[in-house]
Parts: sequence; structure tokens; C-alpha cells
Amino acid sequence: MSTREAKAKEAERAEVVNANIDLASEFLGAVFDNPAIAEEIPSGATVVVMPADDPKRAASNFDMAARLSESGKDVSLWTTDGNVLHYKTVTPTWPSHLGRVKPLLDYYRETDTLRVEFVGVFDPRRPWGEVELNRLVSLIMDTQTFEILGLMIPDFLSRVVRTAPHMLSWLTAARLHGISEEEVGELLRERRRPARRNVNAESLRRELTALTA
Amino acid sequence: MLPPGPRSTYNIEYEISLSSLGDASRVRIRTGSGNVEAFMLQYETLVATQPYQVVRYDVAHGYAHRDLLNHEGDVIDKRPMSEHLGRKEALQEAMGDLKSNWHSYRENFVARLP
Repeated sequence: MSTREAKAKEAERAEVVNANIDLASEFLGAVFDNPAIAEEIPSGATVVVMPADDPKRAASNFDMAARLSESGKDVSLWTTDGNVLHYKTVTPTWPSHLGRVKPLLDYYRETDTLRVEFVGVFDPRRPWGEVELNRLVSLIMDTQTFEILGLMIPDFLSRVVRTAPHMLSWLTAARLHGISEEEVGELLRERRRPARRNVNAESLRRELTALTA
Repeated sequence: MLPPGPRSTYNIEYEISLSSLGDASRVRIRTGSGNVEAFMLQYETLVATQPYQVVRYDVAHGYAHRDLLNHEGDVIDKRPMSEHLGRKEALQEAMGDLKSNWHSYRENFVARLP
């Protein structure tokens, strides 16, 4: 890592830590004002503070909570508007009108990632983070309402399609970045998969659920 | 003057995560009669995957003070905090000092590592 990169990384770390020290102050101030909060958060917990008014920080902290939970920590989320959630009880919910939701698919060859945004549901102004659905797929989720806003599927061609060959046809409904329609067509022919233009969010959910099962 | 409070009497302990790189503040609190009676706050960090305590703010041993620690957890510098503070004000002072200085505390801590 170059000196410039190291400095930029350290500056980023400082920004995150400073912001979270402010949030920690807010949390501890609330505990001092009302120690009954401690009855909702078990002693020994790792607390991640979720700012209600800063979607970007909330998303970043939600990612941090996910990593901490994966590492075995007992993570509680405290939102600055006073709610407490145990990370492991967070249940992502699909949009109630999923059958009418149009998915917007983008495939990026450089990172071999398929990203799906649910049109009319995903809004970059909402606080969002990624949470693993299974070993192949992550959900893009609102970190306050836990509504699923979309999907992120890394290693799409190199791993996911090998596990679930039918998902290759999703590419024919995707906007392609760094790969041509001809290349996708060739892949489909090689694997004898039909093209597919009409994809809706409900069918994606069903296919993902089958994949999880 | 703040009342003494041995560590064993803390009934609540939280680790508050400050970054994905292992920065965290750990707080121990003693509550009673619906109030916070004493607390200890420390900043912890990871250096090459090893967790360390870097600085500790303590208002449970008769007076509010800040301790800088070495890699073995020994106090290498003790400074009193402002006198006659209520516990919440002491907390605010501790968090303010931490925000202003955690980076230099960490850098100096790392520089002192054997």
C-alpha cells in the first residue's frame, strides 16, 4: 500500500471512529438518563449505534454489526430514536407488493457481480446495507425497516451459475457492463439455457428461495 | 467527590463498536436506585489482530481520572479529570477527550510496543 493510500485509509478510519464516538456518547447519555435501557440490552453485548438521521452511517454501521455478529459477538443495535434490536432477531422482509415490483438488473463483468434493485422500492436516500441471505446471495436491506430493497450476487458467473445454472438466463434481462450480449448469448448456448426477458421480483424471490433450500 | 466503586460491583458492561478495524469503547456501569452510580470507560484497539486497552477513564475510585495504559495494561500516565463533575458530565468530558485524542493515544501506544 502506498503512503498516500495508507493516509487515505487512516483518514477514513478517523472519520468513522469520530462519528461513532459521537454516537456512543449519545447512547451512553441515554443510558445515564434512563438506566432502564440496560434492561433491554444484555450486559456483555456489543452495541452498534444506528443514527436515525444519517442513512449512510446507519448503513455502514449495519454492515459492521453484521460482521461482528458473524464473528460470534452478541450484537445489539440501538437506534438514536430509542429503539433496541438484537441483531440476530432482525428479519428481512420482502416488499408486500413483490409480485408487482419490477427488478432492475445490472451485471458487472469486472467484479462478476449481479446487482438487482427493486424499482420503486430501492431509493439510495434510504439507509441500506447488505446482509447475507445465504452463502451465495446478499440482500440489500433497509437498515431501519428491514425491507428488502434488492439483491447483490457476487461471483455470479464463476460460482453462482455453477451452483444454479438456470440463473444464467437472468443475464438476458440485465443491463450488461463489460460483457456483450453476444458473449452472454454464447454462454446460454453452451449451457443450453433459454433467453429470458420478463423477470419479475417475485420470480427472483422464488428462485432464490429454491436455491437456499 | 465521586463515591468509590470496585470493579466487581459493576453490573453492566458493553462494548460499543467504533469501527470495523477493531476500535471500540468498553464501558462498565454500576446502577442502583434507578441511577448510574459509577462507570469506567476505556478505548480498545486491535494491533495486528491483538486487542489492547489504550486509555481508561474511571470515575469509580473516589476521583475522576484518565489512565494511559501500556501493552500489559499497566498505567503509564494518570491525569485527574475535572473536579466536582456529576457522572454524566464526567462521561461527556471522557468522551470529549477520547474524541480529541484517541488517534494520538493509539499512535503513541503503537510506538511504545516492544
